[in-house]
Amino acid sequence: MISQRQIVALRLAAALALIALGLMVWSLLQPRPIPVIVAMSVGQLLGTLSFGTFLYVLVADLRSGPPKT
Amino acid sequence: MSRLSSLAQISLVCALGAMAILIVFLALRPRITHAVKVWLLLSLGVLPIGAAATGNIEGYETTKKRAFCGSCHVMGRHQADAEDPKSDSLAARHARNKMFGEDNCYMCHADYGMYGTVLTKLGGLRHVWLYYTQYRDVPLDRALETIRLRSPYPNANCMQCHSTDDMLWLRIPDHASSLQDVRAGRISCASAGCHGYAHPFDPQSKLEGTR
Repeated sequence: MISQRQIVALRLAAALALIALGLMVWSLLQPRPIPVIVAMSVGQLLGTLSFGTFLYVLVADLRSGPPKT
Repeated sequence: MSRLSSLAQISLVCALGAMAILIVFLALRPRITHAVKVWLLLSLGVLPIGAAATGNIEGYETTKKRAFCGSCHVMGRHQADAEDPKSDSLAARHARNKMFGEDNCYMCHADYGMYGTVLTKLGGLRHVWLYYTQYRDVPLDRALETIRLRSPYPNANCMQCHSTDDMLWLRIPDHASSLQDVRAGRISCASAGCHGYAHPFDPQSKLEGTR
């Protein structure tokens, strides 16, 4: 069973991923120095943080075992 | 906006797909069921990784393009000269060569050493820093008076293609007589006495023109 804290973490991961993906889209549509550099640095960092948070929740969920009936 | 490459299109589809799922997830706040977990795996894992992998390659390739270098206004005249079919500058003649093509700035200015790509990209970051801290508001004519290479242009870059070993090349008397100096970098291929400056408005080129 996913706890309230993990749900908040998932929402945070979703928000971070949205920002990271937005930066990536910006760099693809406007291939100028600042968008490309920001997407390949800040975007990567936020995307990795987001994926790490998701993995953390996933592993915690798997370790908690199947839901009790 | 220039036409997107197929790699950029794949990245865009992955990114927009993931964003659509995430917006629905944040807006609807659904219960975390098995199906929602699978959608999250797609939108936080599979699709963003796809977007990042293809987007990074695309970003790297973009930084090699002449249009990218020319997107800072101080490089506008360099870009225009390279694209001018009537220009006989070294840069323009090389840009017309398909081996150089759209990547002609990078092909000539890249560091070809073992860590060349990394060093070239670090140099590029330095250019961006200088542009935004010193040149952003400087008029083009004034900028061209001060922009110059940090160190002499290495003949080794020319020698990536012009090996200096070819008999046709060595048959030219000036090449044969200056061979050791060219290889050692004591004489620059891109100088007034040899093949001329790479760009017609280089500060050094102007100085020699007034003498």
